[in-house]
Amino acid sequence: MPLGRHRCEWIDDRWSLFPRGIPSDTLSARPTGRGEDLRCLGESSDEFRSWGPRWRPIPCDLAARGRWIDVDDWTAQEAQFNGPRGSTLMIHRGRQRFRLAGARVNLGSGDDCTAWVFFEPKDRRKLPKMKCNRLFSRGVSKRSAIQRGGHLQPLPRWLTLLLASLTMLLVWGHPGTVEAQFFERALVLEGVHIPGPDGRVLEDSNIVLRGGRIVELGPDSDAPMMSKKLKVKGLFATAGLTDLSSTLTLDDVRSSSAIHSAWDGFDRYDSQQILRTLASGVTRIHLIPMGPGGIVGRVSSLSLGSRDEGGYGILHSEDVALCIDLSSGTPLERIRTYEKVRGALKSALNRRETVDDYTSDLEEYIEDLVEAAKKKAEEKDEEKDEKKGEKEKGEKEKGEKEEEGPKKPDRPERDPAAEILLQVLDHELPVMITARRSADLQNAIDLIEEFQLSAILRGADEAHLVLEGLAELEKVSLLLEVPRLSLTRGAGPRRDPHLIAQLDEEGISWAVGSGGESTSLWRSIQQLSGQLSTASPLPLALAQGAQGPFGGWLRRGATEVVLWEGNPAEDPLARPNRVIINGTVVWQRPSGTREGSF
Amino acid sequence: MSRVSGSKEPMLPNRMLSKMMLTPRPMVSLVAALLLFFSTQVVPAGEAKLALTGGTVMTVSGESIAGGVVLIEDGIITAVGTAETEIPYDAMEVDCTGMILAPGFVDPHSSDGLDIPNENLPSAPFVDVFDALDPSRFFFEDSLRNGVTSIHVMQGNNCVVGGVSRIVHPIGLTPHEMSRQAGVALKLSTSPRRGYGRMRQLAELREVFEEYDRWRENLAESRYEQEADKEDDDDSDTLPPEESRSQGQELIRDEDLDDQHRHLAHLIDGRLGAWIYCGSATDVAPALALVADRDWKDRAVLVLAGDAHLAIEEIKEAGIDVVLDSDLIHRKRDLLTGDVEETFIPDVYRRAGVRFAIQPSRSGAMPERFIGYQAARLVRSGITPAEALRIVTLGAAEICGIDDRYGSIEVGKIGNIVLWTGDPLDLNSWVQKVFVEGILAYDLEKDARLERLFPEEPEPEEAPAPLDDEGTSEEGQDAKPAEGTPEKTAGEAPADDGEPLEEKSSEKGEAPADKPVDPPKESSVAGGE
Amino acid sequence: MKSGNLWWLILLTGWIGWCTTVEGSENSVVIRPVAVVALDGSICEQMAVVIRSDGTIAAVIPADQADPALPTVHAAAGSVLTPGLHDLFGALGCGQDALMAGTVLFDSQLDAAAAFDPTTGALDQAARHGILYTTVAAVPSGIRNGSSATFLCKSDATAQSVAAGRPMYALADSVLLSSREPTSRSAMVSLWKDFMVEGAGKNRDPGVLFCPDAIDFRQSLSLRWKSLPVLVHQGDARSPVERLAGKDALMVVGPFLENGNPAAVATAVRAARTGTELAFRGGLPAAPANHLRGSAAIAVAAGLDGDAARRALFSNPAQVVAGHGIGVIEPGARADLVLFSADPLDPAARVLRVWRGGQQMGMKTHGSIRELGGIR
Repeated sequence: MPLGRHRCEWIDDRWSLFPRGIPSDTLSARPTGRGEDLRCLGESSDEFRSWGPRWRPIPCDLAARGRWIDVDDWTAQEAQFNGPRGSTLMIHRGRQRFRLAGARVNLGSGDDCTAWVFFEPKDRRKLPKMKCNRLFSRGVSKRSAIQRGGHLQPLPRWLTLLLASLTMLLVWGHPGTVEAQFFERALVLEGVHIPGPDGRVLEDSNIVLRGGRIVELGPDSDAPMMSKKLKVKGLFATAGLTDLSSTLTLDDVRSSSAIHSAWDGFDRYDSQQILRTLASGVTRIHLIPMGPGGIVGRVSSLSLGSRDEGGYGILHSEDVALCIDLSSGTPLERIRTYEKVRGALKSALNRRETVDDYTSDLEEYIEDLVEAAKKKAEEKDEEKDEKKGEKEKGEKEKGEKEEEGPKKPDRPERDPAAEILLQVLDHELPVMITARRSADLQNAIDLIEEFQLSAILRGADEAHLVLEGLAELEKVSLLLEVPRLSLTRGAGPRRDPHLIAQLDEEGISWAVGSGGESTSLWRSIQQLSGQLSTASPLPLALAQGAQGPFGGWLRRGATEVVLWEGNPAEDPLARPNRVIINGTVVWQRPSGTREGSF
Repeated sequence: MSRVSGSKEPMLPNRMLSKMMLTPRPMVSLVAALLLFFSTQVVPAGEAKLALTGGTVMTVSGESIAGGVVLIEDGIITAVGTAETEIPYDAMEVDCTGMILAPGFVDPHSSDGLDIPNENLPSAPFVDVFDALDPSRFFFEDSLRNGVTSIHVMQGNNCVVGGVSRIVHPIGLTPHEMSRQAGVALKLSTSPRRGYGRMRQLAELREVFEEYDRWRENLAESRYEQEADKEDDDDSDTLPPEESRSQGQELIRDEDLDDQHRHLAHLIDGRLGAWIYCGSATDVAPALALVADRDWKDRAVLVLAGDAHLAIEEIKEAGIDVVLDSDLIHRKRDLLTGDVEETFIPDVYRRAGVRFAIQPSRSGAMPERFIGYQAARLVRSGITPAEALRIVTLGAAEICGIDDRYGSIEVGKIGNIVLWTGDPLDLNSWVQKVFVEGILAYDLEKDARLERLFPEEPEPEEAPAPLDDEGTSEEGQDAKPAEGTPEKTAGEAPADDGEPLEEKSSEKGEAPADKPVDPPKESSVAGGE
Repeated sequence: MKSGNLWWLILLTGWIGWCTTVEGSENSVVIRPVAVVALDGSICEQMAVVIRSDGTIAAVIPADQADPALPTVHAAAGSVLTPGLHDLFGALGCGQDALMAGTVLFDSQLDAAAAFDPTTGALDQAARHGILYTTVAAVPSGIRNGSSATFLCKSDATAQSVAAGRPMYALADSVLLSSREPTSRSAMVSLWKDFMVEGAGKNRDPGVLFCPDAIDFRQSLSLRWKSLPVLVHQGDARSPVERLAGKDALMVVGPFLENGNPAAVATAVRAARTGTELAFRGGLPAAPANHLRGSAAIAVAAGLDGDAARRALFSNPAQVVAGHGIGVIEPGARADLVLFSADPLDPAARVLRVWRGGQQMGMKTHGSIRELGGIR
């Protein structure tokens, strides 16, 4: 269940998503500078040492099993999954090397599992520096060390000396770098109120951001020296909202293919649209490709932060899911689309056979080659012993050899679309099937059953009619969109008002997306919470993004902060005042004459 | 490696050549040298030596020389200097007193000379603009009239991967005669083609190169096997496909490339430049990513349009040259306030220190179709006139990679010189004469179209000469310069050439409003002689 | 303001309430304790509303003063009682194309009521979403387009008109689009100037004027109005809405949709800040059923004051159509009430109960899926 409703764990003493005993700091490795080196704030474990300097394991979020974990800032190289079920941990890297280094880890759904993400520093020589940073990072690692058992290992003397001299050199040579690395000015949001999941509000708290991430928050945390202070007294701070179903700035195209990626269609410089979305409190979106029915393209997830080089949008993952649309067009077209998708998946299966055959043939062929080479060498030795044989004989032998020679297998043709479908069939990439009416949902269920897909059903308005079918499926979650009720008859699929209650009853996980217009996400969720009669829409809204170290409740390590004018947990008319992503105020409610704009 | 060494030997020269071609500069000069060699043979080099004397020489590369002399021999500039420069006795001297000599403009990006600017196929790397060049286009005639002497003809922007471009002169009756350098760059586009979305455009663009990579792997494999088969040596061993693919890479010869992939191979091995069209700011990032990925930094050029200047930070960081759209002002309307924000695009690039070229408009109805006017607009935004002139001549030539031959009046460069009646950036100035490779390619006095536009004035005492008469006299003039009349001087000789020129120079002081009616008057005088 | 208003209400209605309770209260119903949306848009907590049997409101009194002997509807905690929402100039209750006007440029005879069909089920459906009134008007294709008509949203054999018609005018491109004179804007404006002298200027009721674009708006304001009509204005960034300041103007804006034009919302908020009262235009049945509240929520998110937004939802539409006894909760007004589970501006608020003319409406929907499952 890669995408599901998710219960945040509220730990009293620390604002952390992680269960006690595992310091959240171990996760807050981040590149300082432009992805150059990595700063690891956590305590290194024994396992780490055994892995040698090349691979560094990072204990991942244990609570996040069955969900997505984002490790975008690390250059994840390999992963291993030590779960009791022995299942594998899957990492999708971006298909294009020229993209930002990013990876997304799905921990599957094991029970008490330990997951390790191994990443390789770009430069091995930077490793000592990583330890060095641990000392410099203000008390954070100390606390985490205490949490783990209270010992902070001193560095070897020679290393300390070396580091000191290096630091001196660095200070002398690149004062700017040093400042950015060690004395980077923290951003402090003073006097904000932080609503918590239990309905409590931490009043008059400070939030300290360093390097774009929250390092401290709470009423007792004080501002470090020389920090930039933002006058935001009295505002309410929450994490940014995540829209799981957005089509922000995408143009409606008349073609669709598995090799399409929604990220390609994102317009980084459409600031008007993006700012409107930010103004509604949404900081992270899953971009759903648009197109005619069938296999539409891949879903990307991105943060709407501003890029250093201009424009907006920081890519997070390009391979969130493969989007299949079974719901567009006339009923007849929809049936055809279903058949087409089914055909494509089948031919992908065929292709896997071909590829597997080729791989095994190739192995055999190489073995044969090696053997043949050995044989030849022996023969040659023999020949040498015998003296050089007549030419005829040699030719004869050669002819024989050619006959005997192993046959090279034919390499299968390239088929990038089928490769992506194979990823889907191997559960490396979930599918997002758009289906709204019961017939389409039935088709989707058939597809999922036939090919054993791990699927997200998007739309699913008439899910109440196929509830039994859905309940039987193992790996499925629903991505609901709040429908626009219309009085016109036959205007679209009918959503049962009690659908969510029924889903909960059946244990089907669900989440909410805006269905394209990200600006409406907050209002949609408010509306939904009214239907559910929950006390506050905020937990529901934040749960949308609570997959991995981002989103969820505000806590250390978070990069996205929304400051509201009222308490969004209680005041239905609360609206965002500022949006801070990666330490930059990306949107601010215009004051004075410009008031009244988005 | 050692196993196939026997077969390598015959290939050595070839490999050396391709190695040389890996670095663009020697490659360009080599091709240039070859082309020059051929071109001097193809074009009947009638006038061996030409001396342009008395005019102000705007060399662009250096200081302007008042009353300077430019010597052109066999189409190549052999001397640029002051009035003291020695003029060979056998050189045909053209008196340019009162005129301004400037290098011909370089049009850095044009699809106007083509029959149809865009292909129907989204990805057509195999095409060459040569096959679509139409010498009879009015565009070429007009280019000459406006002082453009080198045109980088390139396929239009509506493509995924377009064809190969070339440098042409706006004179000649066949594409062969016009072409000066084949295979300059390949056109790519990261902006959606008509009917495409961004997702499809970029997916297809990636697909083109991934398909190429696979094709090349297969080719390498089969090449390796071919070479291995050729050898009679027992040592020749079949290798696993992986290894033969990597070993075969070096065995690929030019003749192994098929039509579909040849130009892509040339693009990737460095023989062709990559000109990438970005119609809006968001298309810049994928283009730069492609450039970085394929390591084209030193030969990639972005062809920009729309709001692409918003991505200036990215372009600046990548350090890539750009060619701007003819529409130099971008207007953006704020939805909320209704305010329209105007940006003068070249200014953005100038401030960022990005080297840029400008192109004339493709619409015949606007003043933007004159490169000179476009350059004058640059001056208005704060660029010095000298710098503006450099941008449309040498700057554009640098971006096209032809600055070793074009773009300035320097010794060793090709004699593409335009005689202006005034400052080239002044709209009141006329192009008096254009020399292309030392040959008189255009003369204002014999511009039949202008004559029709500005008919003779009724004032002259002499009755207007019949058109036929005029025509013949012109033809005579056209033919004559080949022989050369070296004894002609600027001072007093009432020779057929001298008089109008002198008149011209004396008229320079007159009000510019009179200018348009000048040419016919002069020609009528000449006709009367 | 809020508390002052509360006291005023208490004093005034307490007295009336006392009178009515004395008069005798057979068949009266009291709703309490409930928060009530007052005339100025504020919410008064802990009130009780007494509905008389003839379908009018008898009294609005503090909850503890209500007679406990009366049949009582106990409202859930946090719920808010409001007047009915009002779908302005939509097509709710009309067939397709029923509102297309004729070819007459100055049509004072046309009555939109003729196009109204009270039997459509959409009226009851709309009422379930809290929309209790619908105002229909002819398409603004002439300068004068007859008069509007306002009805109660109740699927019934007979239409219940709740407001007199108001003259409808238009100064817009839509006038030019019909294939008759005038064909140019200047001609239209000069016709309007003549009309100001002869017709509209003399008319006692200034009516409602369609002027959707900024240019229409500007030209409308340049005419010499004795009293300003209600302006129906879409708005863009260049609309000079500031010129309405101090004129007690009433403007119909919207409807605002998600991903709609942000400039229109900004203009409306600007207008509200300079003292213009707003009302949201409807668009039923084609628009989403909750779009009136949606428009309000979007406007609030863009900076509109909450009280102003509630006025724009409830009391101002009644003024637009010059209705009496609708759009407010006060003694003597029609007992067309909606009980929301929360502040109606909160998107989470649901409609709990609806009274039309004092009669509570059955809120049951088409049966749950469980029941449907049984059928299947």
